[in-house]
Amino acid sequence: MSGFNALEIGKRSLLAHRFGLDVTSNNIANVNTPGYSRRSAVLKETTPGLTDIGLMGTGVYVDRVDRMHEAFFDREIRNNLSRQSGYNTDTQTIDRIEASFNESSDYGLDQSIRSFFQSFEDLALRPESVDKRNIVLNSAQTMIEQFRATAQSLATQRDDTKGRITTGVTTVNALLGNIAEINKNIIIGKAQSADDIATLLDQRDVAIEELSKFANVQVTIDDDGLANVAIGGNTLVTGTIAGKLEARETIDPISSERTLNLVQVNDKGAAVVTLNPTSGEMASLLKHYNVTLDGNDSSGGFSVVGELNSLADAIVDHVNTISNTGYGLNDSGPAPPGRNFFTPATAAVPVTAMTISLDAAIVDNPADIPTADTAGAPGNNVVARQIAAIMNDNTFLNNATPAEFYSSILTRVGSMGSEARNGATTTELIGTQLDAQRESINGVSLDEEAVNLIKYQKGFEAAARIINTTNDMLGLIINMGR
Amino acid sequence: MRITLNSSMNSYQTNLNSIRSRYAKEQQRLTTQKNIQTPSDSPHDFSEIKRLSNTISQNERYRKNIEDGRTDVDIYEGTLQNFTDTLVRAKDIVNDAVNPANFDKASVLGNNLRNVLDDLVKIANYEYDGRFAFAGTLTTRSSITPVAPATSNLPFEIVKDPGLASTSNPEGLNVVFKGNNEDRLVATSSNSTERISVRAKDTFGTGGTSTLQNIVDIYNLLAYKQDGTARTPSDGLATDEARSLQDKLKQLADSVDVVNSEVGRLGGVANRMDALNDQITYENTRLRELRSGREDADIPETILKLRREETALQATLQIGPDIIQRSLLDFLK
Repeated sequence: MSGFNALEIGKRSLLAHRFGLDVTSNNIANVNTPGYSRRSAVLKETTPGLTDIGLMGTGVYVDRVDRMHEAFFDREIRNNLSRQSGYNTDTQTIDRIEASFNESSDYGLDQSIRSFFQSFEDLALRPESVDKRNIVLNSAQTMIEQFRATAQSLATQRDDTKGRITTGVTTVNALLGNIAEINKNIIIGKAQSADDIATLLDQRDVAIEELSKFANVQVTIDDDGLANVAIGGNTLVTGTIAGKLEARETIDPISSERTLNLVQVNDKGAAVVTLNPTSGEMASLLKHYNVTLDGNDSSGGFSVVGELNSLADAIVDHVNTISNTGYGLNDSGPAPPGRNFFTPATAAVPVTAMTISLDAAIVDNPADIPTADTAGAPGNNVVARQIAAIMNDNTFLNNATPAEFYSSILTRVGSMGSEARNGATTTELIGTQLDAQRESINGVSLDEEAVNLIKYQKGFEAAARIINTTNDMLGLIINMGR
Repeated sequence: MRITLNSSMNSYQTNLNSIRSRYAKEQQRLTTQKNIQTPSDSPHDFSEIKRLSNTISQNERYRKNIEDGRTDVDIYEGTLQNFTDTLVRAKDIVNDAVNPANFDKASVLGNNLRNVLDDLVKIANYEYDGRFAFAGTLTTRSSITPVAPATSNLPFEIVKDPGLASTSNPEGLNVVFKGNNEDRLVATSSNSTERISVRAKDTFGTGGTSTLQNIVDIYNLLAYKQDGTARTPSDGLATDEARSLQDKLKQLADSVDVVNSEVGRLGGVANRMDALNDQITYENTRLRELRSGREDADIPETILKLRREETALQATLQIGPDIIQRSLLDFLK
C-alpha cells in the first residue's frame, strides 16, 4: 500500500460525504413539500485491496439513495382519504339541503303548512266571511311558494351536483393521464439508468392520493415498478395507458328519471363499462344526484325531493277530495259543483313541490272555496272543518300527520347529516394518525437532518484532513533527498 | 416514533381547527340562544322538538277556536238574556191584562204587546259580525229567500197572510222563520267539537216560531173581539177571553223557561270552553318548558364553555410558535 492509496481513500470519503451532505440538503429543502419522502444516502465500503498482510480497506462510496417509504400506510391513507372525502361531500350536501328547508327559522315550510290548515280552522268559525276566505287563499299561496322555493333550491343543488360531477370527472381524467405519464417517465428513467426515480414515485403517490379523494382506488405495482390503478374493480391505468371517464345521463322514457352514470369510454367515445365507486367524492355526488335529490328516483333509497313531492301531492289529494264534496257561498246545488282547491294531478303533470298550484277556478273567487256540505248555507262549516282536520289525520301519509311526515323528512336528513359529520370527524382523526405514522417513516425531521449535516460535515473535514496529512507525508518523502 | 416538523405542525393545525370549530359552535349557540341549529346537530332532539312544536301549534289552533267560539257564546248569552227580558215584559203585559181591574185596558195592552212582539222579532233577527245569530247555517241575507207573503230576507218576519185571516186572527198575522236549525260546530280538540250556535226550534219553540206565534195569539185576543172586529177602549175583556189569556200566559211562562234553559246550556258550553282553555294554556306551558329544555341553550353553561374554548384557543395560539419553530438547526453555530 502506498501513500497514493490514502489520497484515493480521502478523495472517496470527500465525495461520499459531500453526496451525503447533498441528500441532507435536499431533505431539508423539501421539508414542506407535499408527498416528499425523505431520502437517505447509504454509504458502503469499497472493495478491499489485497496487500502483503491481507485485505485492506480502500475507502467508501455511495451505494444507493434509499427512499423512506411504507406501502401499507399509503394504502391505508388512500382508503381513509376516500372515505373522508365522501363524508365531507355528504356533509356539504346535507348542510345545503338543511339550509333549503330553512328550519332554523320560524318561517319554514313546516310553519306555512300549519298556517294553511289553521286558516281553514279560522274560516270554519266565519265561513261567510270573504276576508277569511282571502286569508285561506293567501295562506295556501304562501305554502305553495314555500314548497316551490324549497323544491327550486333542491333542484339548483342537483344541477350544481351535476356540475361538480362533470368537473370531478375532468380532474379524474387528468390525474389518470398524469399517473400514466409518470409511469412512462419511470420506464425512461430506469432505461437511462437514472438511479433516483424517487421524485417520480413521490409525484405518482401524490397523484394517486389525489385520485383517491374522488373514488376508492386499488393500486397494484407490476414487476417493472409501474402502478396500475383501478376504480371499483375496473382498471383505468395500465402501465403507460390511461383510460378515460365520462359522466353520462340516461333518461327513463316512462318515469323521466334522470340518472347520471360514471362510464369508462374507449377511443371512439363508446361506453365500455359503468363504474360504481363505493366511496369518495364521486360516489357521494352520484348518490345525491341519483337518489337524494332526484324526485323521480326509483331505487327505493331516501329521496328528499321525492318525499317533498309526496307531501305536496298528498296535501293536494286530501284537500281536493274533500273540497269536491263541498259548496261555496254562491253554489245552489243540489249536487256539489265538484270544485278542486288545488290544481289536480294529471298524467302529464303530476303534483310535485314544484308544480303545486291553486286551482284556477278558486284563485280569484274566494267565495267559491267549498266550506259547506249543503248548498245555500253560508254558515255551514262542515267541509272547512274537515279540511282543517287533515292536519290531525294520522293516516295522512305513511301513517303520519302532515306535520309528522314533514318532520320525518327532516329527521331523516338530519340523521344523514349527523352520520356524515361523525364519519368526517372520525376519518379526519384516523387520517391525522395515519399521516403522523407515515410521517414518522418518510417525513423529514429537521433535528435528524441537522445531526446528519454535522455528521457529513465532520466526515468531510476528516477526509480533507486525510488528504492534507497524506500530502504532508508525500511532501516529506519527496524532500527526503534534498 | 420519529416526530417530524410536519407531524408536529399537522397535529397543531388539527387541534387548532378543532378548538376554533368548537369555539364557533359555542359562539353560535350564544348568539342564537339555541342548542339545536339544524336537524343534523341532533336528529333525535330535533325530532322531539318538532313533535313538541306540532303539539303546541295544534293546541294553539284549538285555543284560538275556543276563544273565538267563546266570543260567540257570550254574544248568544247576552242576546238571549235580552230576549228573556223582553219576553218577561210581554208576560207582565199579559199579567196586567188578566187582572179584572184592567179588563177595560185590553186594547191598549194589546198595542203594547204588539210593540213587544216587534222587539222580540228584532232580537231574533239579531245580526253580529255580518251574520244572523238564530238562523242556523243560513247566516247571511243572500242565503234567505222570502216566500210570499214574506218580503224581507231576514230570518224572522211578521207577515200578514190573507189566507190565514179569521175571526181569531183578523189580520192573518203569522211569524215566519226562514232560517234552518243546522248547527255550527268548532273543533276544540282533535276528536271533539262544541256546538256554538243556538237552534231556533230549541229557543223559540216548535218551528222556531211557536213562542212568537203565542204572542201573536195573545195580541189577537187583546186587540180584537171574538167576532173579529177591533177592540175599542170601551170593549172590556170577556171572562172566557180572560180564561184563554190565562192559558196563553202559562205558555208564555213556559217559553221563558225554554229560553232560560238554552241560556243554561250556553253557560255549560262557556264553562267547558273556559276549562279547556285553561287546560290547553297549562299544557302548552309545560310543553314549551320541555321544548325549551331541548332546544334552548343554557346561557350560563354556554358562556362557561365559550370561555373554556377561548382560553384553550389563546393558549394554543400562544404556544404554537414555540412548538413549530424549535429544532436543532436553531442551535447550530
